[in-house]
Amino acid sequence: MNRLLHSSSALTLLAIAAVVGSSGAEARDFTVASWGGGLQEAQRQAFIKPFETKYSVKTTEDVYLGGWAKFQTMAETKQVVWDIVNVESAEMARGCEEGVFAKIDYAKLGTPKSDFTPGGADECGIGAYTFAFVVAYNEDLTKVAPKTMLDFWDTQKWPGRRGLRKGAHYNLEFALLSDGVPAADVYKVLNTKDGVARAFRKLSTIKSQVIWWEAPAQVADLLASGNVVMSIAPNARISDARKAGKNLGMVFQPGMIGIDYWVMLAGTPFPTQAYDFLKVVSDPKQQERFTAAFAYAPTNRKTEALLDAKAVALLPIGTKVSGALLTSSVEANRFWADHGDEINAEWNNWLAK
Amino acid sequence: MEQLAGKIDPARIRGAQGRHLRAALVPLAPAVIFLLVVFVFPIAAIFYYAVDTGDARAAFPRTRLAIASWSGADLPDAQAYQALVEDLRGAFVSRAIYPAARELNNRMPGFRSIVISAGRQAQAWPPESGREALLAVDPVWGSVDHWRAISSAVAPFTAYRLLAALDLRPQWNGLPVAAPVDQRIYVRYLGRTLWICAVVTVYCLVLGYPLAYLIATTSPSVARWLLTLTLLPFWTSILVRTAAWVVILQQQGVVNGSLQWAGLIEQPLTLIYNRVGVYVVMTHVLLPFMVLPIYSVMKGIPANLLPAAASLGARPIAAFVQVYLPQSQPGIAAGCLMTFILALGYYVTPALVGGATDQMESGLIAHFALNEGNWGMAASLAVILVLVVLLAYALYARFSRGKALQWA
Repeated sequence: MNRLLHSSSALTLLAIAAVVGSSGAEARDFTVASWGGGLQEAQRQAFIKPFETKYSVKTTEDVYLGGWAKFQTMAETKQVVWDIVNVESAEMARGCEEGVFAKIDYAKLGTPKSDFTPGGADECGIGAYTFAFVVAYNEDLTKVAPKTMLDFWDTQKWPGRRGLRKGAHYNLEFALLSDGVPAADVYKVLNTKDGVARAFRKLSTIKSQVIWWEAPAQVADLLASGNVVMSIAPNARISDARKAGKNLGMVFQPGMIGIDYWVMLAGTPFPTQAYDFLKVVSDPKQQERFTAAFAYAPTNRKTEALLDAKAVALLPIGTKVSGALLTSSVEANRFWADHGDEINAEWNNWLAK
Repeated sequence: MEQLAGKIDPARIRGAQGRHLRAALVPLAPAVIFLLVVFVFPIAAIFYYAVDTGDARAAFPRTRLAIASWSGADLPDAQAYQALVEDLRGAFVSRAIYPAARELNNRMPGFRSIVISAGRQAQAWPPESGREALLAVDPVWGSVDHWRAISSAVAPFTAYRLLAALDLRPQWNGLPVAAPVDQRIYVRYLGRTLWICAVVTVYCLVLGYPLAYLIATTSPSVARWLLTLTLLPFWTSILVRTAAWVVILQQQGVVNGSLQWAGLIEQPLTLIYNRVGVYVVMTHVLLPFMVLPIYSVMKGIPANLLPAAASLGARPIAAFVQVYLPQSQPGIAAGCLMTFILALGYYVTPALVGGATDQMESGLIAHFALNEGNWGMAASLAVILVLVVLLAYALYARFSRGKALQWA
């Protein structure tokens, strides 16, 4: 009896040791992380699957919903769990400065920087797409359609709840734009304590009516189910929902556009595969497939010639977004890299009250 | 009996008990090691992270030595400034400056960009640069408060974050002081969390006690059905349940639709993305944890006690309150403890069905850890929660052992 007990407990100890020991030496697949929902589906069809077939690299996908924490953990623990990520410009700039994202060798890539649209080719990131933040509304619940993004704040004419993305980023800019600050001065004003306070004051006027969404894929559902009457949303999510038959409208002006980037993690164990993936995402033919499926503007100049008029009509380019605030400018990135932490702390304070 | 009493040897009994204990240790060892690895070590690590200052100490070793004997009353000497410039130069190259700058930014908002820009510019400075070079970059390098922040950040450990989690700030003389009014949020979060958990526990008790009574006293076949139905939610994922509640409670959902169809309301009620939604969903999810401990205690209460009390002249309500309820008290205590402690850890549910003012402390911990990467602050808030749990357990111990033993 004792012998059985001794041997069974020895086996258990061995099993635990094996589990604990093996967790350090796991080989993982090449991993690409993006924002989920319709966007990731379009990227899967246009980039990830063709990449898998052409270069015979088994690829795993993951979801990334913004923020710096994941990359900080990777930098501190030296455990790189993602290889290519679709990040926002603020994270791209911060990662470049802190050495978390690798610098891109455009000669190795095969596509010169001049082939990209302005802002589409950065030191550490290749432009994934240009998006616009619009004010989307439920057409069935709004008797009169809103004309500009500023109608978002009018709860008398359009009573009901509002949707905003959770977090200070983009909301402070939207608040200042709606408060009358010209697009060229938004970041100058935000750089002052008074400017930040002004943005929070504007947001406080509708705070009690707001539902805060975290994943962009949530917005269309919130609008379609009637939980919110109007919401800030990325334009392509709404176009996607309209394609699926939901009655959602959107207004672009005064406009907030930005560029998101594909970045490569500096410590990736798959450097060749990562460059191959970047080649695929900068290929005009693949970008055309992506843009046709998801209404974000491409970053390779040569893609425009391949697009048909129907797809172009949905893109956030041209007169639709003339005068729009560029949320991925050097000024914007510098602001969020320098002050993001303390503004997030202030945001938490404000949200909790 | 007297004969046997003489032959019982206490030493032999102790020896037998010792052998039993040693024999039990062997199969117990894997469980103990498992608990150490997945429970004790992580919690000890959290306590360590709450007070650790590794980031800044690693980035500023020379400065730490130079200000070791600094009084803090006035600016430090030239040697400290030179040491700081050396450290900034090295930390920028090694990239250690970034976590250190974040740590300093926690104490003095705005310090991060100043530290990083000083590190960047220090690359081009001649050796032996010190006070003048730093003051030329930014006047805050001549501020005693900022030097005190550096000193506190390179100390062996820091109570800054633990105090911040209670809306206090440390002072140079050691006594904590309340944080500025516009920065006080954590105590409010804690109070709100405790209130929501207490309310949910009460709702679960009010709904769960009668249900447990029913299951414990009806016929076995009915009881089996009721127990299965009570346990059924365990077999579905909690996220699926929460999502289902969103469908039921939303503006055009099942509840509002039925009420409007029955003509009871005109405008849909707001049942979700507010406190109502949080209470409803959390009560639903935690109900089985209240029902099962109470049921298991009730099962052990003799079925003839209430008729016996009636035969002694007690009216039904008096019999219940004086006889049955005290007997079921250990179950109530256990159920309340389990429900309360589980409710403390819930943050996904309030995040999905609550509004901005319904977020709980564990949501804040998740936010700091996952969204901001500020593990120090997350650990400090977690330490506070652990202390609250220990307090709840102490209350439970006091209430569950006292009266139950009277009836043993």
